[in-house]
Amino acid sequence: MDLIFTKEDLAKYPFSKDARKYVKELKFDYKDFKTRYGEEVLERAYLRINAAIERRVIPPIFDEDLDVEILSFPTALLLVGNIGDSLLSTRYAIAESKRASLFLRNESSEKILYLASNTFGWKIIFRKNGKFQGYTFRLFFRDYLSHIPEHSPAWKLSNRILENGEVLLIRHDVVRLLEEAVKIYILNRLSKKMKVDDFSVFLPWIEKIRNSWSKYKVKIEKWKTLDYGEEAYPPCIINLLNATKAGKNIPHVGRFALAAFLLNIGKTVDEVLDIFRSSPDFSENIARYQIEHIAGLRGSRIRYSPFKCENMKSYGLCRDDGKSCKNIKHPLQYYYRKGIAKKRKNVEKKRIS
Amino acid sequence: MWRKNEYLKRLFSKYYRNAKVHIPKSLPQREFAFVYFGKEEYMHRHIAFSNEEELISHIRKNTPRHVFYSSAYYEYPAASNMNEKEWLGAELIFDIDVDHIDTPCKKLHDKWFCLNCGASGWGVPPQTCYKCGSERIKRETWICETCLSVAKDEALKLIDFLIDDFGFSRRKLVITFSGHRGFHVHIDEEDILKLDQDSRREISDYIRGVGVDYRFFIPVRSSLYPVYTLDYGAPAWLGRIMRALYNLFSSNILEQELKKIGLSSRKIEKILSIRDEVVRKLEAVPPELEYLGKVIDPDSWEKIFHFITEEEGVKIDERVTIDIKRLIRLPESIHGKTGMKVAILSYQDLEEFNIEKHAVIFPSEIVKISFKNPPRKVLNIDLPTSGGLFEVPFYAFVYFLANGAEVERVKT
Repeated sequence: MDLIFTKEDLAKYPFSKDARKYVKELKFDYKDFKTRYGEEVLERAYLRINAAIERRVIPPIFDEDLDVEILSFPTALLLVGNIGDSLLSTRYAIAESKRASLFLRNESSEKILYLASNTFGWKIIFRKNGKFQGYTFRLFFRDYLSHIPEHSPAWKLSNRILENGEVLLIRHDVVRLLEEAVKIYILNRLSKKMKVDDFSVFLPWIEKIRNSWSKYKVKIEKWKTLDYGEEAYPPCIINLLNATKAGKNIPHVGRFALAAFLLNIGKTVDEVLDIFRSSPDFSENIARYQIEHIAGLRGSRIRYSPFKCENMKSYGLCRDDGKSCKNIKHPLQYYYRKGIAKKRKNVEKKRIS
Repeated sequence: MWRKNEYLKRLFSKYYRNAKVHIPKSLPQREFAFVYFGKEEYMHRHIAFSNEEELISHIRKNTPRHVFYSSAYYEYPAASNMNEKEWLGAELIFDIDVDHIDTPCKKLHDKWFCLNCGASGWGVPPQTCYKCGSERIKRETWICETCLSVAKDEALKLIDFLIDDFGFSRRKLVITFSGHRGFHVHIDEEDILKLDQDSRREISDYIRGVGVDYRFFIPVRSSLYPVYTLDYGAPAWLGRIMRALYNLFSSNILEQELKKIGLSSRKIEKILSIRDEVVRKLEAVPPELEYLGKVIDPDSWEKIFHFITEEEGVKIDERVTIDIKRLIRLPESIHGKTGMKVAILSYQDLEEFNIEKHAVIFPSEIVKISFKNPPRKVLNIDLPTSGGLFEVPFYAFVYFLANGAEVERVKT
């Protein structure tokens, strides 16, 4: 396929193979960051990151100088990677991937195909007139499986058309999977330390990002590190916890939901491992691996969140009695709401007494 | 016991003198594990060989009772800590074991004993002893033709999934008799070696039919999703569901099936009253599923799908497929509890599987034996319930011995 990206495409998809090649050809060196031009690149990189921090989205607009725009992406990676905060890395990666996704939605099928196969090495083909209307893409199942964006019935392979090793997909599916690929690519890049001889020019920018990030991080951390106790667990999690403690054999999705919930409210891998110790088929090696995986310490380096309520329902794990979970969409939302409400009550009680 | 072990070891040794065990791809990157005669409770792990000759001479020298190798490739396969091995990839493995399938013959040959109170019984063991409630239950299991034919049907179904849905070519599948109660299928292709556990779980769920959601297939009122257009020849679960629905609704035991599915008698009555119309709609070209979505309620659909997917899915042991660091029996080695070989089978061999032809390695000459408390059926041999003296092929005697039965050869 010899579709070559335009310069504008490189700005839209600065993670693409073509963009990486282009950046190399620009021969932009570390000492160039000290020029006025370099300053512009750093400024633009900072804006990317700050938008991700403050608004979780990086607006799909370009710097008027497209070279600055393109260069600002690897520069942003350098800055975020250097801070080395996994929460920030994830936030940035998601924001970049969402931005790419916005562009991709309006892209021609040929370009989508080109990006998927050329940048990410997917085995993917496009077939206009298939048996199933709209299902114009066929993706090798391996590439599909490693980019499933969420655990939900719609993405479950069992509910997909799989024929001859290829998953049939509509355009929108492919864009969503590519979004995941972009996120994974960025997280991968961020996890690798980049060596830079002279770092001084970056320091003030890193400081700026740290400042901006710390405001948000404090909020997140404070919220997340408080232990509201088991009384604040939603009924579905209580049920899973009790079944696990009683040594009952609970399905994998149940274990996943429980482990992801506990890790997300601040339990350590060892604490979670201890809870699973009474499982009938407990194997420390396997369990530890899986828990570490969910905690984001392995594999894709993404910390998994437990399923949202809708998915808990489809896995048959929901235990709502129709009253407890009004207006709740996610087990963690239940926990924080209940926990914060309880804290408030306690404060009031103290005041009264 | 010691003499029995020595005897078996001599027999195994004779086999290994000329046998060609299977040599996995990239042998130096594989971990091997052995169980030796006399040290059955211990698995000797973290062993690696740099070439074929080393492996073969180790087996000949030590005559192991069981031989396993890792489905995984490692940078350092002999490292004793799993984290230091540095995982590079793993074969995709499927295991079909009648242990996980309820077969009618189990009450003819499987026994359990309560180690606490001594109670015992035939068939699938209870979770807890019915007499004293203890969980300390010991099992004695055997195989017969019936179990193996059930396992074979599952294996053939599995291969359909692997070829039609997953696109593997038939000659890339390494099919083996597990040496005991089922079959293994190995896929050792560059393309899939790096699949992680989550991806393997999706593959396993797909093949088992786990997570197939009626809301994608049947246009019901509460349908959240765009529904597929089903047809009998459609790929993936689409065609399977279509065919299964037709089989179900046109079945002459529909009422019984619906009871098994767990529908209330009111709902069963309703379905039976419109059954002719349902079948007509299913026979229409293309099938008119909107009608079915209207006349049968979502709750019943959920139950019907649960039933269909369990029937159409394959009963693989999902743990084996998901585990990326599994130790699995080396093809063409001997299973130490049966004295039969883990035979590599072609697709045709599997279709015509015959344990005597494909897996038996010891002679078929008839020997006279005494057997205390024998199972009623083993392999294709019916045994008298009373025990005592009887004549069986020599390989069956080896099986009895290896599986721990109280059996002696009687010299005539």
